[in-house]
Amino acid sequence: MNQMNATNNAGNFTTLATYRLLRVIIVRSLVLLFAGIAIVAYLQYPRESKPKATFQDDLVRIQSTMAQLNPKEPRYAFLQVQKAQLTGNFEDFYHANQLLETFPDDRELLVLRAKIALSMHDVTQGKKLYDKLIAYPNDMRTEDLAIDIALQQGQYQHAVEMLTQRLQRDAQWSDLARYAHLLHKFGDSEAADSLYVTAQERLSAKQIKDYAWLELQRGIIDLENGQHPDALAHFELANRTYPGHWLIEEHLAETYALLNKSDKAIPLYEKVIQQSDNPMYFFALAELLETTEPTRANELFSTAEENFQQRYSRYPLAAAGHMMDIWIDAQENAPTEERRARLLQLSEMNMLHRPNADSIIQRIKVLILEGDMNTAQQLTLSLLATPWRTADVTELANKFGLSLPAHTPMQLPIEVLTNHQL
Amino acid sequence: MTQRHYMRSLLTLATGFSLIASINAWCADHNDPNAVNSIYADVPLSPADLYDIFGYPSDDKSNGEALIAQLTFAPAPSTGVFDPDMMYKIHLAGAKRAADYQGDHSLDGMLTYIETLKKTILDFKNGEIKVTFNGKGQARVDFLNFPDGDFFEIVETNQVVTITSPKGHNIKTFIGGRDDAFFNNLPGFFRSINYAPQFYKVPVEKYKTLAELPIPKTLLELEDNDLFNYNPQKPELGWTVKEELPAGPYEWKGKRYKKDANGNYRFVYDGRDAQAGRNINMVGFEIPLAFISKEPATDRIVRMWGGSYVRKASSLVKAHAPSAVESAWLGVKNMFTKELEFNNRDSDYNQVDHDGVPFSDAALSLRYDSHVGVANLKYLREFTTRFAHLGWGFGPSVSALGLPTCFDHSNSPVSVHKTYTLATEAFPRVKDCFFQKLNMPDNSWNKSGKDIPLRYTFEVFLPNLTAVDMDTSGTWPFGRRPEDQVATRFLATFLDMKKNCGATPCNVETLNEPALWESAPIEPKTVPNPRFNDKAFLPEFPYLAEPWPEHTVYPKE
Repeated sequence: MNQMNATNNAGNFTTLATYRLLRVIIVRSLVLLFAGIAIVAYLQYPRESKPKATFQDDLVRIQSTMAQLNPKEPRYAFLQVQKAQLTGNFEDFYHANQLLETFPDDRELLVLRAKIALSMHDVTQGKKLYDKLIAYPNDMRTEDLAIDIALQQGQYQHAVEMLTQRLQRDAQWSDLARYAHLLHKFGDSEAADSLYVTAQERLSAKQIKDYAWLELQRGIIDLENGQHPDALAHFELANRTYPGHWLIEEHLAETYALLNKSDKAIPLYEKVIQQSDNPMYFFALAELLETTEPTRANELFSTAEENFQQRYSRYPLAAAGHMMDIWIDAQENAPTEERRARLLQLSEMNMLHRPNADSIIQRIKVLILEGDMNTAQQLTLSLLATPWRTADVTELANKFGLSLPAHTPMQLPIEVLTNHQL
Repeated sequence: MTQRHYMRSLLTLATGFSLIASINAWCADHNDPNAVNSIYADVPLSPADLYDIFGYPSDDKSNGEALIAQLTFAPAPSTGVFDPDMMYKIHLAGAKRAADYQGDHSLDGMLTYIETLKKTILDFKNGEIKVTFNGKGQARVDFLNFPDGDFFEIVETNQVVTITSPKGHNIKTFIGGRDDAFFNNLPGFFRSINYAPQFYKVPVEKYKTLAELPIPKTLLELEDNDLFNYNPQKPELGWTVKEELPAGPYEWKGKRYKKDANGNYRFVYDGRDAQAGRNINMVGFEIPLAFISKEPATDRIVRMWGGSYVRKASSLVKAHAPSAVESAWLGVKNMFTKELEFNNRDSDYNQVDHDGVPFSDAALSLRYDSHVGVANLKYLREFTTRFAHLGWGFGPSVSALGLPTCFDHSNSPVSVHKTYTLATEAFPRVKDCFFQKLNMPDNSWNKSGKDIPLRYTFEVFLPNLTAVDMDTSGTWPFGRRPEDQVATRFLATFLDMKKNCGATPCNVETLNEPALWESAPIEPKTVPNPRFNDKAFLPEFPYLAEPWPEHTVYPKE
């Protein structure tokens, strides 16, 4: 009996052990199977779908369409404008403008000429073209031009009134974005960011490029407010959404540099200068390489100067406006007589043609460098009378011991913000 | 590295990566003034532009009593091809037939009635058919909030398929390209309301100021109305040609209707079918009433409306991508089902267009309610002022033709451009129109022979939905059948239906009778809009005719 029990016990033990072993094998196999399936599934499911559009795709599309057209066609000129806008290169804009000029009676192309003129800070030319267009009161784009002209002339109140009317009438995402830009410049970055998000939510899947542009603007707010990690997150998102655009990559590079990540900034700048003729980027890269690769840095400084001269020959106001900030910094650190003379001349020219807050700020800084503190202070007072409230404005007010006058914050009617589908 | 922000840039003023930033958000019936309506010079054809919604009882009883519900829209990207960034919905709700209106014939009485009925008119549960696409010739059809419970099926497009519900109801489905069932002399209608975008290049942003120019609405050409009168030198204007809109002012300073040497008026319509040869895309269903309502025996009305939705850019942005765990789970699901190829999350879409009542958006609402959807009751006052505005145009035209009008135009000999800000001021003019019953030409509409009251005009437009009476043929205003000439029937709402037009009482089909125009002092002697579609409807589901071969330029006749 005992023997039987022992045998049975041994048998039970063996069965139990086998059962346990089998159970372990089955459970582990199942775990492994499910883990395998999960991994395969995880890898298979597109967490990040392919971007709907890229800079390169758009450029190729425009170029290939242009290749099939007769360069004398108006559509060719239109596409050249699109190309210029995509590349940002002044030569492309100049070529576009030449093509547009051959169609002086085409209203559509006249609008484009006016827009290019204003983009290039040439308010006089922009106004001249606008005056030809206002004979057509039916075109919303003439309102765009009027708003741009007012902004460049520093007539902020007038611009805001026109823009507010537009928003109340029929708020488009681009109007919201324009308003957001002003909100930020007028010191309400939080409201600006929120408005950019509202604009983003109105965009359809067909407007992914515009979404990226708005994301870029959100990043610029953070960048200008010194919130570099937040800015980086926006720029990275913009770059994933619409990969390869030099303007996004340049902002990414700049932010990496500010976060002391030269290893990431330098390759990006190298890529940007392959696409853009903007001397600022050559200059920025040169600064990054100044200590590690002085020879290359000097070459880049030279190229920046050459590019500036080339751009200046095409669009002096825009070329000057964009470079002056850099030269002002450079002059503070290592003054030269040649640069001093250039800054005086360019800042005066800028003030004359485009007397908005940006131009005033640059002029004040140049005057400070000159030691002409009285004139600088007088100009600062006129600057403070505008609604412009950027870091530069605060800095200048502090420098002269001036208090920042309060100004009525811009407030959009709630229906403009909430009417989702206007 | 300096702290300077390098790119203050040329783009601070320009919006978007393009100087020519598209402001045509996706954001229509054949003509409601919104941002996807391609009548505007700067708006391309958009699949978000809803054209029509048809709702009527099916003649085919083999599947039980059933409703036909068809939502049509612009054929983009092309006929029978659907944009995977779009979603369409048809809402359906069973309801009891409302009792005949017994209230005062006053603005307050109407408002009170509407307010009283608000709860039953608006606060009801509705089922929803939601259609999304995968860009591979398939559509996912979700049925939500119906008595059978929620379910979906993935179907091939451009084929009639039958979807069976969990409780065994068979729902015939057709999602594909068809001939446009809307047969209409649109340029004529636009000529009647001096609607510039049909004839001139007007950007969509100007829809409020430069769409309808401040010239009297009219059915008869006005003397010296050079902008809109038919010009034999420019026969294509408004059909295939648009010109630059001349600089204003646009007011009409004439005194009378234009007459030819024989003393005949010139009709703003010419009866031609502007939609001939054109296609649409559609989502269409034949749905058993017992599937829509738990009480089909008593719920004899089906309220229906449709919407178009476009996918948001934000839904494509990788910041909103699913987490690793979600991705793994979705990946597993993706192995066994195609449903992940479709995005049917409402939160990923913006509504673009709404379609409920023919001509509601186009003629009456002026976009006030284009995104309000069904609940347009609060616009009753605006409808009153708008109807009066139209009445001052059409009323005198009707009278000039010797027909009785319900609109009180104080015996004006010619159309007048008059606008109102106060509904109370406008209401006395439109009262008889709002509170007249819309006569039908005969009794063929009442298939059941039940005691069904004729509808009042005001009931048709509020709320913004089509109420299909299942005991009728579903002809407008008891629904809408493809063969209904709704544009002409809308004009008939300005006739006085208590009086005779000829030997019989005026009715919704009066203006569609060729004999009426043969004897009228007018040229051309034609009904305003074509009487029949350019292509015969099919005798069976999906009823709308096969599409035409794809055209890049559509024929004008």
